[in-house]
Amino acid sequence: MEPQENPIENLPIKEVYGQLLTILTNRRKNKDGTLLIGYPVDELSVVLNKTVEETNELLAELNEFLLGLGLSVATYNEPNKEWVAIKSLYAAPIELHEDELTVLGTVIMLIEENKGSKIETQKVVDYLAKRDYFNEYKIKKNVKSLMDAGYLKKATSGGLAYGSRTLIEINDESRRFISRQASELLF
Amino acid sequence: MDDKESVDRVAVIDENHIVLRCVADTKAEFIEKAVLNGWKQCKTCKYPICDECLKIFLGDNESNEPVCPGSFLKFTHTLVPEPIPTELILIEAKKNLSELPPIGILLDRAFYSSPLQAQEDKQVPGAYFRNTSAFLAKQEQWANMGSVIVKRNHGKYVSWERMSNL
Repeated sequence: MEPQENPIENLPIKEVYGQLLTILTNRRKNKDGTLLIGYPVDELSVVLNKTVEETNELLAELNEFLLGLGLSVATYNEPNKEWVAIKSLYAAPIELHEDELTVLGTVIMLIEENKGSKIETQKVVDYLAKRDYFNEYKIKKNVKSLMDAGYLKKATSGGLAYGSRTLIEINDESRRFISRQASELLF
Repeated sequence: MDDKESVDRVAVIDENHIVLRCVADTKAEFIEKAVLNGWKQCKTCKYPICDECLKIFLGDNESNEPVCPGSFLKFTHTLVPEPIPTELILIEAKKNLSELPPIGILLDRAFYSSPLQAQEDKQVPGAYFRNTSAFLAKQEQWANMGSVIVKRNHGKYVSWERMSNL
């Protein structure tokens, strides 16, 4: 019996890149309404019929290719899994308005103070409402829209955690910088 | 309107299941069964009309120049029934299906058919009405309603429609 040809091995590299680009830029919501961007690395290796090491090598090659387009392959850590997506190398305006940015900055500050762990929504409400920046309704509304946009998400055991967009678009160093600035601005 | 355009009147579930809808009572039926049951289409507007409605609209005397029920969608015209061009509709419907965006093998494994990720988040290609890709439409047999087309979103009931009683 002749060995079966692996259709993935025979794909031209341009087609592999084209389909990878779609997989890694894909945005979808899971059943809980959490925005998912990209794909988990270990599962991608199964899709590609490669080992995780070979997958990482392919992603590095793709990254080299994308750099010329002003894009790069970005990895981010969700609980128990490393995810891979594509991000721009350049900064551009985002769709959040001033109130949402204030709430996001506060959440980043509180999570960073909590050493990156999830925080309770009530903690954000208490922090901002006590200082008369917003009322409780407006804070919860902004938290909700940040969750819809993928910047925040409900942690598995309740509470607020970073969403995929915060993890991709704002790196660790930037989050620490935002945290410092927020604690100086919010008395 | 030629037969190529008239394919817009049909709902394509997949290449083997094409549903016609009667322009008068909006009853749905698979194309093969509709033709067997004596459905016709209007020669002018090309909209399908079921055998029951055909009898009602034509009346006893065909010389009365009955008004086509498709007149409310187009201009007023006489109902002149003609056979449904099944083969042309099948060819055009399949052509339309093949014009859907391609799903590459990696994308298929990543999002549609692989045993990966949360299975409940997966979508199944094909067997969808076009334009409503999130919804799965399929034929089911209900004890009280008989043969029905049910539209579900990830298994959750959305709507249903009764097929003909035959």
